[in-house]
Amino acid sequence: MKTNTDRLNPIQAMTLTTTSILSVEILRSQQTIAQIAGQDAWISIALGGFLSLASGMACYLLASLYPDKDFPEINLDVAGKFIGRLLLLAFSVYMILYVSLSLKIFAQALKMFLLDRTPIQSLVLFMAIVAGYAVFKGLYTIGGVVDIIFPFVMITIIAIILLSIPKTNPIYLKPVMFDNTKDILKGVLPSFQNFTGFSFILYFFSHSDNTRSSIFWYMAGILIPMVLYISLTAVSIGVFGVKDLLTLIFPTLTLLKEIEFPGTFLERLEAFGAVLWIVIVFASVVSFYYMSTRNLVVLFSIKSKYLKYVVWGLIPVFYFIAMYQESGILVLEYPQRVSPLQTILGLLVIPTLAITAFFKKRKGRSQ
Amino acid sequence: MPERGNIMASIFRKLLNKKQSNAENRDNADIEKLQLSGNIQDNLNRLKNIMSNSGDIKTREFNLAGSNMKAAVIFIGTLANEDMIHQHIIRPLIMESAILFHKNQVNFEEIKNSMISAGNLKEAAAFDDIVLGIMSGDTLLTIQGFAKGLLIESKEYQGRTVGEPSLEPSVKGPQEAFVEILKINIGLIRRRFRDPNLCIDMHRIGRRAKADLAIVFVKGIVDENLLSNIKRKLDTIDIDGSATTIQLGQMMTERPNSVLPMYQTTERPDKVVSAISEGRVAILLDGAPNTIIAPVTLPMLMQSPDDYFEGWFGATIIRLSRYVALFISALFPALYIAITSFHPGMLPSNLTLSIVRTRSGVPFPVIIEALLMEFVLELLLEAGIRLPRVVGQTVSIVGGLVIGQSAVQAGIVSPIMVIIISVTALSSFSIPSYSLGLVTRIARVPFMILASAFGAFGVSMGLLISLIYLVSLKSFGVSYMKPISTDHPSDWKDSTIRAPLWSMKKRPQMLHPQDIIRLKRRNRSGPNEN
Repeated sequence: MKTNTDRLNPIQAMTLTTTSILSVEILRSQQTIAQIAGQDAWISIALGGFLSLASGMACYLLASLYPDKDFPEINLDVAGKFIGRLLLLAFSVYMILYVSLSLKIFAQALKMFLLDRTPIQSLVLFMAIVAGYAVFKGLYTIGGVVDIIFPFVMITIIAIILLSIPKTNPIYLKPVMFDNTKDILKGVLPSFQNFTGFSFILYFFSHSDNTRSSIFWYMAGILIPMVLYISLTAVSIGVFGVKDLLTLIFPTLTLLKEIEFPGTFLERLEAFGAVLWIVIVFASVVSFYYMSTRNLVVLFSIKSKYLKYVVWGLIPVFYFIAMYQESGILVLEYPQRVSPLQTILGLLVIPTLAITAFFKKRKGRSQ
Repeated sequence: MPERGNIMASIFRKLLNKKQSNAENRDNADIEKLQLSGNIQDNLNRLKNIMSNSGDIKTREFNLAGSNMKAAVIFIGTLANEDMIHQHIIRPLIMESAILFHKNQVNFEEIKNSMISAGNLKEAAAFDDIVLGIMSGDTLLTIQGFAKGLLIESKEYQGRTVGEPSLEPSVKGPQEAFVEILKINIGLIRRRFRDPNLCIDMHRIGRRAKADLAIVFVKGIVDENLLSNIKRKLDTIDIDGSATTIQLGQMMTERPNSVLPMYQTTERPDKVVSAISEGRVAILLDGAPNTIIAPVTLPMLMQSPDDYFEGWFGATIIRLSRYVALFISALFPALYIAITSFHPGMLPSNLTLSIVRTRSGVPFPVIIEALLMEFVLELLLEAGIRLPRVVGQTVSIVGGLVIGQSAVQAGIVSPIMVIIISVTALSSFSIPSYSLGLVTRIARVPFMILASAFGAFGVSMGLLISLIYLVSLKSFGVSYMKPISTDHPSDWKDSTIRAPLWSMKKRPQMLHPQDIIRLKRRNRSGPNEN
């Protein structure tokens, strides 16, 4: 029975965007940015966040100009069949790489903190299959799952931040912006890359019941992870200091280790936190998995009845890309190699498409 | 491929239908065309023949008062109220109507309107109507010279009286439960809900059994889509014999193979009343003491009638503790396995040491130990149900003493495992819905296997798989996890928490009720304080 319940609601613009932005990066983005901007890393992240808000506005504009189509279809419509397909290919490659890298880094962290004897292959494969199951069930199911995990994700991250505050030393955060402007600006683009997930709106907008409040929920969806990233970075710098922070591989998990929960039953809180963080990575992997599927379906004009083969067929692709990279610490640098692609797509391609679409529509209307 | 599959399926369905209707035709061939004749002897003989000349068919022939017109009644003695037939059909026809006429002829209308004092009657001529009526406990009056008869209602079913609910007891709520007789059950609902919009839609189910079935809903509240969906599904059910409530429910759902209950069954009239006043639909079946309520969502299965007889604060705490029980019931052994075999560092070192100490003599790995105890627990539960009450105590002695204490002393299982399994068992019984409790018992084993393979990661993946499954499930078009979503924030008030009743001003919107407002005025100081 097809009812209106099969559509997403405006609030889900927030939950879906937030959970797809909060990704595997939450484990170590502080370290990556602190490497560039030092103790002012949080300012870089704030600026990167504002940049993603602007780019998010472009996404929203583009999506709302074509309320019945999702991004790959809009893309072909605006950029034409040939250039559109080229762009789509770039997006597909980027997203498939993103999912594979997330899986790999995730499995790496899991092996380090929870399961030291389990083979990494089985971890990657298991996570990919479960994510595939969610994508197979469709966008409406993804929305429902995210609705339920959203409060738990929020509570965990906010608890980590609040419990770390007593341990912070404000000295580590000073001097603020002292002779550091250049590095701060250098850190903006890498920070922007932490917010990749905001483009998810382009894929679910056409499946939502949109009201005038949608835009506010969507902006909240970008602002929430932005505030979380900023405070997590500030707290991490405050607890460890930049020097120590740079030596940590997964600072967020180490931060969990530092927290002393008064009268605790569980001694190693980081193992416990890692379990909840599995959920965070899962949600962002699922959203990128969904986007990859849609891209491929439109790119190769695959009929919707064969959709399931695309969904399940992507699992070996993710697995082999994830396994192709050597394990170990080096894998953590791979995201930075993919990132220019993301910057170009997010800051150049989407706004250009949005502006083109806007003028195209206006022209069409005036005629 | 799917198209070809559809074609094959439709051909197969057609063949099947043809076969079924052939069989039906053979059975009813003589009945469908037959009409009553003017000869009562002929009519009686035919009816007896159709009803296989059973021993409990009773007939009585007599002359209408003061005339030589012959008449006869035929009924089934085991279903009909003979007293009523004598007092209100035969007696007035023979004796009392004598005052009315001294003529030799009387017409059918006069007999119908002035000579029978029974309450409900209707004219009938077709044999299939008449046979169904007699089979339901009605009486046929046939009169010489008229090619039609009167079907007079005289049902009297034997059954137990309204008793206490046995599966869904309540502390402060009403203590009435449905019985096996449809009429009494509908009465129990009507008494609690005197709205003229309460609609009882009668159907029959079963080609042979022809059991009565009532769809109960409130016009003006219920979602018309839901109602037509349910009616359409009921119409497609083609079953030979009688169906139980559970079979009926399974035939109606879109996911008959789901492990989770896709409809709610209850034996409490108050639960049915509150469900239909929310915009849900109840289905009552004659002969079944439980009722189907559809649609259902997970939080509905976690509600208990007692939630509404306590203050909102207490009710919320109790309801939340039930959710904790749901998780413990499904996950506790799995978490124990994950922590002891993969992450012993998560526990305080003293606890880890004592676990290691108690486990030192146990010959099995934790997973085997847990599966073993789990199996024994299931055996105990099953035996507890099957054993006659007289020897029921044996189970508790065997279970408590032999399995618990002796197994530990013999070093087969560790005492901590006994504690874990006991807490798990307790938790699974604090879930109000028996079917949902059963699901957690089933889910426990896959979770244990995942935990022994992947530790805490396996458990969280298991949880995510269950969550995806739950969210994608739909019961009659309503998502299974519905109130716990951002769709209708006002529905949260009666989900994992129970808000004060004065604040629940709207009906659950996930059910798309036509009339959303439940409570018009904010009335905090009234009797509805809780």
